[in-house]
Amino acid sequence: MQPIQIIALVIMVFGVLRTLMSYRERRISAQWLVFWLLIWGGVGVVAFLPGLAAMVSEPLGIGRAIDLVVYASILLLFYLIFRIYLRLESLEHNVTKLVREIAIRRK
Amino acid sequence: MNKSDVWMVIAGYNEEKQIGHVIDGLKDAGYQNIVVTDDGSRDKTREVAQKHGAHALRHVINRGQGAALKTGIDYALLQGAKYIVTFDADGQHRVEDLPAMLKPVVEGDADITIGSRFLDKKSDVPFARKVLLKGSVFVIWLFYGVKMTDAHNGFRAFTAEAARKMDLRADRMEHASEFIDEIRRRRLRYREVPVIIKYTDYSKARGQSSWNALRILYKMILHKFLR
Repeated sequence: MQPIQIIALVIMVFGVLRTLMSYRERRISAQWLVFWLLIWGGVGVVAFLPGLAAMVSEPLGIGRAIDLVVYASILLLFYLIFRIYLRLESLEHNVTKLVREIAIRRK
Repeated sequence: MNKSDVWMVIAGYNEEKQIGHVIDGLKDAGYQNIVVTDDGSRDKTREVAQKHGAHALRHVINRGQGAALKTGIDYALLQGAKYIVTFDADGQHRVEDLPAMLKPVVEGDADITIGSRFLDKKSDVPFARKVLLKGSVFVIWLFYGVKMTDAHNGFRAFTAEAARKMDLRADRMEHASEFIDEIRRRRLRYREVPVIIKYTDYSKARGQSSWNALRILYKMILHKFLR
């Protein structure tokens, strides 16, 4: 086993365990459970089944499977940050609404 | 015009030094309905406002000038305001400009008036500020297609109906451009009115840093594409 594969395995096991725990504690929905398991599964495929990963990356014109992973990860990160941003904005807006309601009621 | 139909809305954040004078000036001119939102100040802004006879509201935590003005506007509407004026807490706006600001709104010629420090040349605008303000006029035109001479003037007068139509969600300083955006979206009739902005050492120290303009621009871009 390559050192990188050991690292990938550790990250994967940790990720899957965290995901399952979060789901059991009902901190994430079934949708997100599936999403995260797919992500960790993807990590496993790239680390341990490079042939399968190449089958996906080559038709896309990306020579090395690892490059596909890097590109996909960046896109995914952007998407997740965007979601967090939207969530934060709506949280901020809700806080303002509460503060406003308190201000007017206490008058 | 009956001055008791007019509600003055002021947002104050750590303004205990000036807020009393501002309220007194308005009261002396016959504007009795004044609501001050103390936006989570660490000083006695609320107490001073109350002592000088304003309706003093308090945000328990700081939410920004846009949020504080909106709280005051909501309160004024609940109190039955017919006309609402947003006014600065730091003494930059002149009570003498109020009749000219209110006239088009009260007479039904406009739904909203916005003060402009550039329509006549009487305001002594510092050079750096001028460059910045003119830059934002261009950005407003670029984004919203609305031609203004002064894009970030906090002096505004509008009808209760216009206040109900506008969906003001911006908490911080980007609320000024949001006003313009809402005027456009709700097809409100607006008019710019020449006003004089008093640049005192106090107001300059309290004013927006030029860097904040970048933050506002960033927010505007996000809102433009996310709404």
